[in-house]
Amino acid sequence: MKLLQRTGYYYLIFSLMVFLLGALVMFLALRLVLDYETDEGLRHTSKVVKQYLMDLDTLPDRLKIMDEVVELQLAPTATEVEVFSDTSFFDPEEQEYEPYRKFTFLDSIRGQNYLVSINHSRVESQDLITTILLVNLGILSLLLVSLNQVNRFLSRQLWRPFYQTIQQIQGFSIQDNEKLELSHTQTEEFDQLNRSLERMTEKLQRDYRSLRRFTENASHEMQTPLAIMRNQVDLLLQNADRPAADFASISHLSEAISRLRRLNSALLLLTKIENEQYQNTERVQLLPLLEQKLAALQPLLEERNINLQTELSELTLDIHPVLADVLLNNLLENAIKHNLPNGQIGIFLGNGKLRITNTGAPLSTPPAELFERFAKESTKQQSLGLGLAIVREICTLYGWSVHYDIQQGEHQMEVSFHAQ
Amino acid sequence: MKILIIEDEPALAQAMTTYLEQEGNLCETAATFEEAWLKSGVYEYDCILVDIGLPGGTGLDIIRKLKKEHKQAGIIIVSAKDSIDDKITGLEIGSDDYLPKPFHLAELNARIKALLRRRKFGGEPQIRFREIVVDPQKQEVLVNEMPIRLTRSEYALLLYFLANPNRVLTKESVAEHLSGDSADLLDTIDFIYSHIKNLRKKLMDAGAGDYIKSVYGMGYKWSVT
Repeated sequence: MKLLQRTGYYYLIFSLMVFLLGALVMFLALRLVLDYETDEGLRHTSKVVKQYLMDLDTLPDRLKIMDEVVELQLAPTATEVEVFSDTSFFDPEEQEYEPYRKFTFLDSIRGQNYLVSINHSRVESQDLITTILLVNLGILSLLLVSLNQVNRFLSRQLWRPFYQTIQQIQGFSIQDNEKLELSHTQTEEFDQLNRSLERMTEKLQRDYRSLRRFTENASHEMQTPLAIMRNQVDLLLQNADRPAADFASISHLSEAISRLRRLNSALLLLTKIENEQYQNTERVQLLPLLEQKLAALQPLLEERNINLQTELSELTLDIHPVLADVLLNNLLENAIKHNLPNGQIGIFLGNGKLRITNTGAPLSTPPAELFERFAKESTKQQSLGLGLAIVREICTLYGWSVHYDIQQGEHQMEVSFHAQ
Repeated sequence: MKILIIEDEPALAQAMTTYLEQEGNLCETAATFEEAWLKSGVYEYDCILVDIGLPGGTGLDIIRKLKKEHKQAGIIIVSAKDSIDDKITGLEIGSDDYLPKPFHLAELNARIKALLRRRKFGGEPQIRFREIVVDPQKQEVLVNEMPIRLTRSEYALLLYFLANPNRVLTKESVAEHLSGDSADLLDTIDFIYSHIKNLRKKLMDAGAGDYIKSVYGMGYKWSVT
């Protein structure tokens, strides 16, 4: 619910309550005043009625004097009585009960005590009250309608910069290099809000950029010490007069350095993709590239006795050639590395899709989580846990989707090259 | 062969010098931009290894100068910044190869040999090792004058061995040589065993000697005894 709608509702409820209370007070006050007036009139009339009754020869139970209904009743005692009360009579003309104000007093007529009641119709004063209340209701409705209109106007005019700001923030991305530039407004609060948001987003973008740069710089800085270590190992190896244990140590060193190098270049690659340094795309024919990779992998497939079945057709992509290479490598590598001996690999290429299925051990983690960085299912030491993260990053870059499913022991990785 | 190594990291320069001098080359080093600028201007080299990030300037300027002065030296960029832009710029301004750090000395050696072979006009274009002859231009391998068919990987492997005879080549070094420099993450360690087995078999089937030896399970050696 919009802020102005909410305040509108509160206004409405509050005004209704005030009006109801006011109407009640007004009703009571009006009645009090009108009853007082009527009572005064009745008291005054009573004198005339007394005089009139004196002059009558016979006394009926009920008679009409000057629009007033007068009732007579023998009084059981001679105690003085003066009572005002409300009553109603049936009006045969209108076919309904009409309210009356009744004044009862004790009157002694020719030695006989009577309780005399004068009844005065209250229809007129009732009508007056109703009219006044209706007029008030009209004023209230007018007030509410005009308040609503004022609110709409405020919403359109005064709050416009606020909604504009919201819209711009929704379109803001921390990864963009574009600064968030909000309008200047006359309203101080909104202007403050806009300036604060500008400062905040600028700082966010700056920090984000420096964080991304950091990874890249750190990776580059690591290359030189790695190179020194690697070259020293190379030199150590050239001296053959060593005990076998030394070679084992050197071998471990060499493996560790290689692992570090691969880790480093994988992180660097991820950062570069994130930093959009692979902007240039080319038309890449996926089919020959895939066939070339499969040919290179053939000896390994034979070694592990993995059966390869392919259904390949032409597919052209707009992609940076390096990333096309990496994408295929990582997917094929996974299909082989996590396969079983005497297993299967199926590759389907075409129809805007690349689907690689392979036999493999069941997973203990949900497949979707393996796209996270350093998420590893395999206990293999050599696994970096970055291969699928890179695949996902490449797909995200080009707006493709990638899905990993497992059905009946068959792992299926599918990349849809349709931009989403 | 006279080689100038422009590298500001002493340990790296030292290791390269040691390895390359064992191969019978004559190496000189330059640790700063200034020194590199002077040496490359005064002396003639067959090959110059250039680090791009140098104290006092960029190696790219040295390459530009060498090209402007029409020096004949082959140029290999050795860079810690494995960036495509640097590589493209380097090759555009006339360097012959690009080797990202960290590299294996055997790889560096193979690249230098390949470069000099390419640049040597009228020289021996073929690589001969006893009964084995490789013609890099035709990508052809002959054993006892008879051509044999090798896969792309096996061929690359053979060249690598022939460039580094009697050297222990670690599995990592061979794997990286095979996967090339395409920012490859393919875990080729597993692959090389089968490639090496196949190469060895093909060579021996054609009548060549058994030169490829495994060294303590950590690597291989093209053994010349």
